[in-house]
Amino acid sequence: MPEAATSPTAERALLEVRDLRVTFHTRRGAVEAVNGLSFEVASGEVLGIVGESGSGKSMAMYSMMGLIADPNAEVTGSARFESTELIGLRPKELNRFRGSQIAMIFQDPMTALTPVYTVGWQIVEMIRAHEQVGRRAAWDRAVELLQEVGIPDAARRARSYPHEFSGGMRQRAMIAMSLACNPRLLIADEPTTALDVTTQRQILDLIRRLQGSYGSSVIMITHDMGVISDIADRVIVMYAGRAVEVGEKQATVGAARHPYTWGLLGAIPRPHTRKTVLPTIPGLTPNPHAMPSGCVFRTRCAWAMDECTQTPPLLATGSDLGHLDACWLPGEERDELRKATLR
Amino acid sequence: MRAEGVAKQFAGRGRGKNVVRAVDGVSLEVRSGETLGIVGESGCGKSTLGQCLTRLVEPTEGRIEFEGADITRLSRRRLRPVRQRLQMIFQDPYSSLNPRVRVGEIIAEPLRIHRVGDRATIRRRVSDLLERVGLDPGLAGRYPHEFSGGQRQRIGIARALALSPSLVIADEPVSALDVSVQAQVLNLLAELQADLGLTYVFIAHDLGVVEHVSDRVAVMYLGEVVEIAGADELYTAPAHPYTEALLSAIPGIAGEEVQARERIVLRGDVPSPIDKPTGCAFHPRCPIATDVCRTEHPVLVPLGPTRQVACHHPRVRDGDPGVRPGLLDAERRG
Repeated sequence: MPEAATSPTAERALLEVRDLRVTFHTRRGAVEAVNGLSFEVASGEVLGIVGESGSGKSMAMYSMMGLIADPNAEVTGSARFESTELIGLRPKELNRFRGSQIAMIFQDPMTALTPVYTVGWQIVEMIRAHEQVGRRAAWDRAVELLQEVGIPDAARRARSYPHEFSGGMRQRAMIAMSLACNPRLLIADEPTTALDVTTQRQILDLIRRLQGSYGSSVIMITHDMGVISDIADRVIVMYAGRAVEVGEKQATVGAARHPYTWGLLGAIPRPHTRKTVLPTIPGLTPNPHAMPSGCVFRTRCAWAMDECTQTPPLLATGSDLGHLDACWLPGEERDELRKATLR
Repeated sequence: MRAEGVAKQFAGRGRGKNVVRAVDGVSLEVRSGETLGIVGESGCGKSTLGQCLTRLVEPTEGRIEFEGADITRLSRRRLRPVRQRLQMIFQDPYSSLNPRVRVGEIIAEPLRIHRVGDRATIRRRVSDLLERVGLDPGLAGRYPHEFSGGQRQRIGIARALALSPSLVIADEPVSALDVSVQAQVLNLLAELQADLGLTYVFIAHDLGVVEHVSDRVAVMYLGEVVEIAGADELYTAPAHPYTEALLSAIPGIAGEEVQARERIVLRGDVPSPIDKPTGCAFHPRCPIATDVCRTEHPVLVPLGPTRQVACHHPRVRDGDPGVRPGLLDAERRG
């Protein structure tokens, strides 16, 4: 698997997100679903965002794409795509980017495809919404795309309805549709979660291959450390709306420095854990209405100390300056603690 | 428990009357005190098999024996005492608990149906059970929506344990949970097994989870068991090409050593169980299929002392205990 040698600072970032916040104003007070998220995506890079349900990983993406319809939601901060600020853009302007420059694929392709039109028709509409091409040419292109994502007998299958496709084929069709306008950035929200392992394998390989040939950047959102390890160049670990650890995949997953990441990694059953007690993270994710002050993880952290009532900054705490984490534990002790925790 | 040739066919609707062979002749045994994992991709019939074993779904063919008695044809009334010993845990903790019933009532219901003890005993039993699964007994008066996914799964487990069963069939018990919660529930299931001497049939699609919990593992494809073996044996040296393909598809975790496996990427999708391929059901996707696979249906045969495999060309590795490759091949051809 090719590793991206580019660091985000070396090259101008395709997407630059600064202090992104999504706040829901509820009757019981304000809830911050995303709390000051900053990151960038370099061109041609695959950025993985990993976290459990409620960590805000999907919400952050939806807020950038203007997909949060809730009138009580407030999105602040900045998300600059090339030279355009996405936050606060009017829907009509946003539509110029959505689908053509930035495409998104979802966990359940059935909700993103309409059941009443053929798959080919939907791709044609997508192409014609963004480009001036004839119906005939658009149809040929749709068939070509379906072929490219590995749908056998594409010319015939283009005339099929989504329900006639299997789960894996639907996800392929979604990917074909998202590639229709050759987007610069593909946001994939848990694209393989509903799929079986062998199909997941095919889809991950497909995304990698297409990303290579189209040169697009990808943001891959998942809860699965295996999927992240397979596809991402850099990884952000999110917890309770914040990034707790960021860095190259080998660093963030392979040499994790934040106690939450240790907890996540430790909880995964592996061959050497067979018939043993799995290390777990005690307690539950904090109630969004009653977030702990300071470090949000401190109520579940085995190493919580007095300093943790202050919010830890996201900083490089070791020798790798691109590997950031938000934790007050002394940097030099991390390696040892990680080894002791993960065995 | 022993299942012999269990099959479940669903009649298709409309013209053509297509028959879906969801479970197609499964024979296996579950040994007392063990965890038998059943793994396979969606649509392979693993859940239907689990439901057949508890007779939540009536098998169309075959025989199911539980604790020495044939339970395949028992009437509902005769089945009732069996059900005390044979319980199920379901996948979705959101839909398997009645939202309008208090948690204490949910757990007490099986006790009432089976008329176990008076009100006071039942109340005591419910708080014991809640405590047993790691919940505060004081929460018995709450409704399911007041609990998180992991807590609800604990409630489902408490309900399954209420009648002190000997065998619990768990159908995807952790697949709806986040990893950290999943680990807590897996630990709980292991602890309960050790303390109460339970036997589990653990049905899941997640190969890592199944490996973690199981003593033996059965791999299903299109309604049939294609390989069954000790968990160590199956995961380190799969004999069926489908098992091998499944294992090779698991993405490893960055920075960790994984067993070197040849990457086998299966092409296409699982065929429909309405129109199963002839011969070996796996042959259209199998990288090593030959003519015999297209015409002859392979049956489960022993391969070594603790493994059975249904394949015309099983992978036989050097140093596999008890396997004599040359002879075995000859026997198969003969």
